[in-house]
Amino acid sequence: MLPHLAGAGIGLRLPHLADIVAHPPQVPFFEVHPESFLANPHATELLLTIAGRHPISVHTVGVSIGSASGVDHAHLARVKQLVDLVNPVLLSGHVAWSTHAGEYLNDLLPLPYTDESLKLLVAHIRQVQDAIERPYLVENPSSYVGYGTSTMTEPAFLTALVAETGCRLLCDVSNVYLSAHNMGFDAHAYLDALPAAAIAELHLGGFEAEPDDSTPGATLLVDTHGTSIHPDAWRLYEYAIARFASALSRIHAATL
Amino acid sequence: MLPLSETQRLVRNALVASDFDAVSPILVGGQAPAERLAVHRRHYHASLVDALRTRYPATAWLIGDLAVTVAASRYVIARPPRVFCIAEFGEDFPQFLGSESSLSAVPYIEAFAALEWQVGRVSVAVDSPALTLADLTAADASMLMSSSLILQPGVAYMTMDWPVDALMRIYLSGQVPPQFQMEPATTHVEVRGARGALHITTLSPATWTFRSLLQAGRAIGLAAEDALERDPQFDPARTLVELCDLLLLTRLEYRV
Repeated sequence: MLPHLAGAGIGLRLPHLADIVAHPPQVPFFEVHPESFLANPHATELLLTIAGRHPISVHTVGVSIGSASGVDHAHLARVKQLVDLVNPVLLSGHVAWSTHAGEYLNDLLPLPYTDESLKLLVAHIRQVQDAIERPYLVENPSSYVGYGTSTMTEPAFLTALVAETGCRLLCDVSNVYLSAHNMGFDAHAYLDALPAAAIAELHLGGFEAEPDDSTPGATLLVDTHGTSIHPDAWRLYEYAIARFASALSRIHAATL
Repeated sequence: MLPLSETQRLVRNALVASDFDAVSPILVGGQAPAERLAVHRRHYHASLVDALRTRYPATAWLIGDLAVTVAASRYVIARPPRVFCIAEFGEDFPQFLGSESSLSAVPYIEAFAALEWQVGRVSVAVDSPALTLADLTAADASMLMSSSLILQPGVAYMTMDWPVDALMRIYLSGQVPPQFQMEPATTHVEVRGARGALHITTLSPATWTFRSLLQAGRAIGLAAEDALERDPQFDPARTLVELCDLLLLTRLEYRV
């Protein structure tokens, strides 16, 4: 059972910790990447002060549930240690992979949507939830490239994950918007195809347009979180809010 | 159909080694999908090079940002991360710098960068409650020499062939003298930090031996014997008092 959390939180990055401790803002919650804190006891100390005042959502970037070589349990143990200290209201990660044979590639890489990937992610989501002893939300990726070997669409894959594991979804509306642009699908149809009752959190972030080297004259939207949110992404967000209203009236966490 | 592990191996090779030919046939997205994968390749490369530049600002100050960037670019290809926290990436970058022929005119670069790694590591530490002299004198005297002492987490002991600690102090002070001369000389250094504060202290060989062996878990008596071998005038009792005054000790562990 996920806790009730209403309102729009913001991502919290290391350079802002001291200011947030000194001048606590009126924010419903903060979202943090645990990997930023694992090697930084001072930052963790500041985070715990903030966690005493604000709900925290922990959003993992290095758990790599999509890696064929498996989830790294030593890393998972470190994440659990931090999670136990912070006691977050939400815990989430990505439908992606970042590791290969012990190497960490520092990116959220795309998966082919196949039965093999589905079986793997189902097993890994269970491993993560068992290890951390909390529900683990999974987020749709930002896509620039896919695989000809995929046998199902991304919403169908996410729906199957929910059905198999009972996990909830973190719907990154900006990712839907930019993936739809990059991969040529309809963003609204994508949102319509997601299991609305499984949506527990929304994300919205900035992206940038750059020339698409694969297609002359075309643009590629790249997930940078480095710019303000595009008006069209805001409109898609409004659509998502309406579409997922019944679930979000119970648990509404939108991280900007 | 290609197994997921093989798909991920091909993507990994594209990201790390720029081998796009093998993965191209399985990709979709735009007219030349491998170009889209280059977005991930650029992110892999740029994010890790930036991480190293952020981790080694003093080294960039010493040899120039371009030299660090060039070396970092080669390093991220030669030695992909095997850690999940990027703040922990690059511990052996100093050795890599030391092996770069383009930096042979800077024979102390490895020592300087290694010192910078420790400076970064200890400066984010958090001190534990310190052992007092009263705690130490209350200990069972008959067991003291065979006991070990646990030091604060934010302490590193280094011995270097160049007195690069002086160079680091110049960098940290921001006060660059018009001329600075340095000759090779074995130097024993203690780097201590907590919550952003930092102290670099040059120690005598005997004091360095005693403290570094204590940190390594050696029994007090054995550490004192090694220190006395280096300097018959070394006074273990006085040094223990100093360590208490410096709040450097956190715990005494009896050994049966």
